[in-house]
Amino acid sequence: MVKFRNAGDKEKISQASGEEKYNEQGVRVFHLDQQLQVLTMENSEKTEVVLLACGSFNPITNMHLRLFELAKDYMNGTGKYRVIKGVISPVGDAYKKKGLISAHHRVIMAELATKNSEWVEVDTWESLQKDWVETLKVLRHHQEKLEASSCDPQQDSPRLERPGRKRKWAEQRQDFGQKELLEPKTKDVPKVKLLCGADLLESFGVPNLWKREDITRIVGDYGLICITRAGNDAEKFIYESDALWKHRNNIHLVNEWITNDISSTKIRRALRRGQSIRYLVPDLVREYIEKHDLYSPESEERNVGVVLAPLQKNTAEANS
Amino acid sequence: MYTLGTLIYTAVWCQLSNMSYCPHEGRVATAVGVEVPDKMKSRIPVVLLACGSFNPITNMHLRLFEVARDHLHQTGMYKVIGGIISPVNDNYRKKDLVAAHHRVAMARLALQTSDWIRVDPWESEQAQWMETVKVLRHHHSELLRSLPQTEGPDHGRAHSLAPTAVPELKLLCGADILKTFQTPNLWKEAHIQEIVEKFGMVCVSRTGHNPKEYISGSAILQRYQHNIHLVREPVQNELSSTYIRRALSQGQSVKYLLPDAVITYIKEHNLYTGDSS
Repeated sequence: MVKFRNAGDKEKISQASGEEKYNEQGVRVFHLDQQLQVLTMENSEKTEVVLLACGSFNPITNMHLRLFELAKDYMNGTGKYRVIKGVISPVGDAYKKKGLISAHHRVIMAELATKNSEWVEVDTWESLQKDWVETLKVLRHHQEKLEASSCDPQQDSPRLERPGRKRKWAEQRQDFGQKELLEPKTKDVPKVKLLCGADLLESFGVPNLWKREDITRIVGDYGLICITRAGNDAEKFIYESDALWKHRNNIHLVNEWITNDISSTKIRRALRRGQSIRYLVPDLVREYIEKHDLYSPESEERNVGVVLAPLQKNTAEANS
Repeated sequence: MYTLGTLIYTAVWCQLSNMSYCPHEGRVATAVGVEVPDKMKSRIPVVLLACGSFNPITNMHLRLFEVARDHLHQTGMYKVIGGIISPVNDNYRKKDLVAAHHRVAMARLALQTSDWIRVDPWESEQAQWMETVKVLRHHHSELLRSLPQTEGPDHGRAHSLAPTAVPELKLLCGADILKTFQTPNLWKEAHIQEIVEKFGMVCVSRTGHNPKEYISGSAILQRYQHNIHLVREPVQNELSSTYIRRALSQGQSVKYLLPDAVITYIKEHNLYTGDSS
C-alpha cells in the first residue's frame, strides 16, 4: 500500500514505485504503451474483475472486441486486478434506437464473434427483458449473479469463534491480525466493472439520458473502464463532473493511441452502399449479415420518430 | 499502357475471377459462372499489386484491397479480377524485418479466407532486393502469359465474346507512398514515371497525409494523375505493423487486429518477442 503524506508527495511516491501516474488535476492516467513496474501481488490478493459491455452491438465489430482486449491488458497490467471474464450484453429492442434490428440477430452475431474467444461471452438477460433496462440494473444483475454463484462468500473465519469463552477485544484483534499473515485472504467475489468507449462516458452529459443517481452508483459501486483516444478530453470531462471526480479512483482511462474507428454506423452505411466490410467485423458475423440480408435502407428507418427509451422514461419521471 | 491486340474478355473473366458485381444492385455477389451484366463486360480488368514488408500482415493491409476494389468498381470503369501481396526481399534490410519465409507464410494464412487475393513469393525469393517497378513488370508479364490464346467466335460459349482491353496491373498502396516519391534518391525518376504511366496506382488515404498535395507538388504525378486513383477509407484506421510489433513485444493482445491464424503462427514461431531476431 502506498501512503500519502501530503498532496505534494503523492506525485513523487507514485512515480517512484511505478504505480499509476497522476496528472495535474489529480486524475489517474495510464498509458498503454508505457511499460510500468508492476507490484508483484499474489494472485489470491488481486481483485478479480468481470468486464461488462452494454450497447447496441448493431452489429458487433472488431473494435468492440478490441475494447475487451485493451481493458484486460490494462487491468492485469496494474498488478492489482485479474480479469477473469468479459460479458457482452446487447440492449433489448425496447431501447428503440434508430436502425436497431432485432435483438435475436444481434445476440447471434455477438455469439459468432466471440466463438473463438476464451474469456469473452454473450449474456442475453438484458436483451430478453420486455422493457428497457437501465445500465445500473444490468450491472447489479451481473454482480448479484456472481455473488450467488460464489461458493465461499465473505465470512468471519470460524477459527476465531471460541464458544463459551469471552475474549478481550484486543486479544481477538491481535489474533485476527496474525491469522491474516499466516493464511491467504478469503477470495472475494469478483467485481463487475462497466467497459466502454469515450462516447458512453461523454453521454453522461446528455440531458435525461442517464439518471444522476445511476451515474453515481455506477462509478461508486462498480467502476468504469473507458477506452479512449482523446484521453485529455475524457480527463477533462471527469474533472468537470463532481460525481465522476469523487469516484475518479474507480474510473480507469485507457489511452488507445491508434485510431481504430470501426463504428457500427459505418458498417451499416457500407453495407447499404454495397461496400465491403471484410476485416472490420469477424468473418462469421459478415457471413451471417449477408445470409440474412440484415441491414438495408429499410432497417435503418426503424424507430424513426420514436423517442429513445431512457429519454422517454427519465423525462416522464421528471415530469411526474 | 501495354496494348497487345484484342483478347476475348469473357474467357479471361471466367478464368481469373469467380466474382460478379453489379453497382446498381448495391450488393456484392459471389457466384461462379453467373451471367455477367452487359455493363461489366466492357470494363477494364484490373489486378491490384501490393508491395511492402508485411511485417506482419494486418487487417489494415487486407482492408486496402477491399476498399480499393470497391472504389474501382464504383467508378464504373474497372473490374478488379485479382489481388497480389508481394512481401519484400530480406535484403531490403529494414529494421526488425523477420525472415521472408515467415512473412510469406503469415500472408498466406491471412488470405486463406479470401477468394481473390493471393500472396506471391517471387520478389522475396530473388537473390537481391529489387525496385518496385521490376516487380510490377514481372507480374504484368506473368499476367499476360496466363491469358488464353485468342479463339474464334464459335466455341459453344454461352456469352457473346467481346474484344476488350488487356488486364491492367496497378500498384496498390497507402497514400503515404506518394510522399516518399519526394524523398531524394529513394526512387528513380524514370521508375516513378513508368509506374504512373505504364501501370497506374491506387492510393488509399491515411490520416495525416494529403495525397492531392503530393500530386500537385510533382510534375510527373500531375501529368499522370488520371492514372492515380485516390481512395478515401471512411473507417479511419491507424493500425500499422509497427504498432503490432510493439504490442507483441510488450506482451499485449493483438487479437482482432490481424487474423487469428496469423497470431497463432507468430506465437508458435516466437516472432516479434522483442529479442533480437
